[in-house]
Amino acid sequence: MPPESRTELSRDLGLFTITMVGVGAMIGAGIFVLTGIAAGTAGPALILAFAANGVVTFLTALAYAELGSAIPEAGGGYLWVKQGLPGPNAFLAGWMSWFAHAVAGSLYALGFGSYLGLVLEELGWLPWGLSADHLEKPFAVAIALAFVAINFKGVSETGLAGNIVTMAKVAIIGVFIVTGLWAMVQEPAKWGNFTPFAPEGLGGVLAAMGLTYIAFEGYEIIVQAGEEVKDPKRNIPRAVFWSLAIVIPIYILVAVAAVGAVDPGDGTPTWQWLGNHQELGLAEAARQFMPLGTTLLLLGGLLSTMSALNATTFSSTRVSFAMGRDRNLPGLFAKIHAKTRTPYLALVASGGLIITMALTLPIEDVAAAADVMFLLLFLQVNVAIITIRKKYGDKLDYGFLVPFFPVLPIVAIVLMIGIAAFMFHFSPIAWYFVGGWISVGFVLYYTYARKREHEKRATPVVLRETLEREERFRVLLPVADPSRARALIKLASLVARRRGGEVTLLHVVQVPGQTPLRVGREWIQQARDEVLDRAEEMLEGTDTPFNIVVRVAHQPAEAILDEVIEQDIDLVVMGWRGHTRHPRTAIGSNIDHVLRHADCHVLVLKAADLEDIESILVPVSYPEQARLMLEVAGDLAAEHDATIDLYHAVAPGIGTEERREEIGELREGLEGMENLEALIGSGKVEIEVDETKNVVGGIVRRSRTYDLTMVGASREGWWHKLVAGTVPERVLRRSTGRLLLVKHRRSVVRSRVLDLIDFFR
Amino acid sequence: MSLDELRDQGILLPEEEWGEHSLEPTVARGPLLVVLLLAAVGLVAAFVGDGAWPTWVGVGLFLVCLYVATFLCDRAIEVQRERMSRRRR
Repeated sequence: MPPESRTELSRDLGLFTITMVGVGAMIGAGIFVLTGIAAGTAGPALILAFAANGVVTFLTALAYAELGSAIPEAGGGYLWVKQGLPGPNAFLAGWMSWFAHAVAGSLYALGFGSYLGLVLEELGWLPWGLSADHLEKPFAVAIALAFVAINFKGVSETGLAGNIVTMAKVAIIGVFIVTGLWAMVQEPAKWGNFTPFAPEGLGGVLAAMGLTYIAFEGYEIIVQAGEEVKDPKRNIPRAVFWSLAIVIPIYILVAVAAVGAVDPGDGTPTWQWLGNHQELGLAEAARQFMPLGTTLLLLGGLLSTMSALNATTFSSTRVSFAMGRDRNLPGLFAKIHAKTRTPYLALVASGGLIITMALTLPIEDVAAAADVMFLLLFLQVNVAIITIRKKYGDKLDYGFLVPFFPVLPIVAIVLMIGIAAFMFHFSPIAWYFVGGWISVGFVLYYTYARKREHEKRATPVVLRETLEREERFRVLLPVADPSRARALIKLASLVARRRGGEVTLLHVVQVPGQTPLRVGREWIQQARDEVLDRAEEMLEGTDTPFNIVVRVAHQPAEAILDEVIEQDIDLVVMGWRGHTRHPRTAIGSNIDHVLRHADCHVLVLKAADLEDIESILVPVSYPEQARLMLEVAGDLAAEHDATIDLYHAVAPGIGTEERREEIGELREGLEGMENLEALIGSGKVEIEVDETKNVVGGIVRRSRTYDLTMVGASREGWWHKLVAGTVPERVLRRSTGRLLLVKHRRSVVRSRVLDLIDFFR
Repeated sequence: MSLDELRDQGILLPEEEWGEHSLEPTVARGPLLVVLLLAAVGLVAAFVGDGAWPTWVGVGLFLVCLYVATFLCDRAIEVQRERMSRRRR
């Protein structure tokens, strides 16, 4: 039977995680670094500036929600503009996006430099009479280089680590808000800090809006990660809206607390006092009313700036990579490092841009340059949504549709033009940089990119041969290294064949988080040639129907679980080498994850081969509990004409009569197990009842004399090393012979409880 | 980007569904309009209030409107998915 071959991407981000990605990307240096500067510009009306920016951002978020649900692409806005707008606009969108994200990275690097300088100053660790100001830029360069290196290696914040950093930042900001408001409640006179509300008038509010707009960008990263989001048409737009609903009130309350709770002591208006402290305004304000205020704010600032710098290094690299792949930039930008599988040249170029801007301009001008560029970029997206609706309107599957279309996108465009234009008044040099960058972009487009725009680019490889789907037992066999897979293939085909089932060979092409999953398609042929062809040869001699699947994923375990769900897999067969590098896993990160989350049976084999099996040891407490284990043992025994010894441990001191009863109950439990009936009839199944307190020792000792020992996985987190370790885990650790771990499909209730426990770990 | 390229990437609907799905937004437009207007009123009140009680009423009104608007959009997403799957059935 010809194999069915498929290539799939693995989705592993749920609504909560992807919302936190957006929140984490937004709550960065913007609020920590720019609040002081913006307060000095707008006065207490900073509150109004944040709220108004929230409105402008919400209007653009409507466009992102619609386009992100209909066209979820790793390039995000850049690709929508490419689809919606003609001529150089598409190129410019990518060119501007690259600059915008890189300059934002410069801002965060400088913010980090300032905060680290203040930390060292507070600790009295600054050498040679240097001040924090002297070290801002060197620290900025150092942290930018560090994150280039981290992204080069393909290391990124895992979903859980990213959530923890985001929650820490939000917690610190939360404490700032609560203690600030409490200080205002304690001293009602502080409410007078808000009058006059807008000392610099509407102009000050507009300037503060332009300056802090960058604090509201970040939610577009939700869309950039679209191909990895579960149920994207529902979760992408929801995450966009909810991330804003979380962030906008936080910013408003920060402004209230910062302006309202501070007492400069010398009659200076608080907003001016904050402005005088520039990017350290918030940290200095916290010193006045927050327990461990400066320490926590500095910690929050460092965490936020690092997290945001990582995110912007990541996103600016992806944009330049996408442009290189589309031939809008030289192909060098699309080169993937053979070993780390990251777009290393795009990364180096982005890092260079980040460092250059950080060294060239003061922080407020860097912020202004980034703000203007983001405003122009988002403006293009609002134009693109209008043209895309016109071009492809009823041909797309929308998860959300913008209301009052096209009025709201036009209102967004007008507001953004107004704010961007006003920023010239605030920072002319920022506009010179932006204008210069766009001009260079035009030159590049007409001299280079336009010629290559129409060149044929590689289309994703998709292999599909549709066979008629039959209802039968499905066994999934993930294959990474065919040289180690012979025993697994033998086991998988045996179990499938005896149940009239089929085997699916799955190979996962793993790519780092920095690299879009689509890039993994480049390795499909290599996967086919080096892995799956050889595995296929081994299977062809077994007369078992089989399929072939290649999935691309950041984590192999997620690809396995996706395949289990999508194809209604009944049993997964996996191999284990016998050790783990991960401190928090019993077997290995992938196997542990599959054992924990797979909604099917799982077999884990620790054996180089399955030859010459003459005797099988099966520790059993209750036959019904061990049913699957006994069925598989029966399969193996029938195939190899082997004997099965059931080992049953009891407490010491039981009498002969009780021992006989135990054996009788075990024999009764075996009745009805078809796989074993013939073996029992021919005397190939023996039962041993052992009086011992040391069950593990008993099993391990006996396993040395058997060709194969089977162990049943218990269902309650036996893989957690923090717990004492259950019998199966300890047997696995101590036994040196061939082992087969058997885990029964687990219940939905148990899985939800374990997921909840796991979330808070 | 052409229709063919969008089709190759699996982004387009099947051809037999083109023109079959409404482009009417599922957001409750009346309530959303009221919410947007009230939010604008809130911002104006905040500015005009000059730090006194109208400022805080305006800010509070704005925040309430933000959440109502978010809820309306969230609900619209669910309605949109239901509409698409109903149409396919």
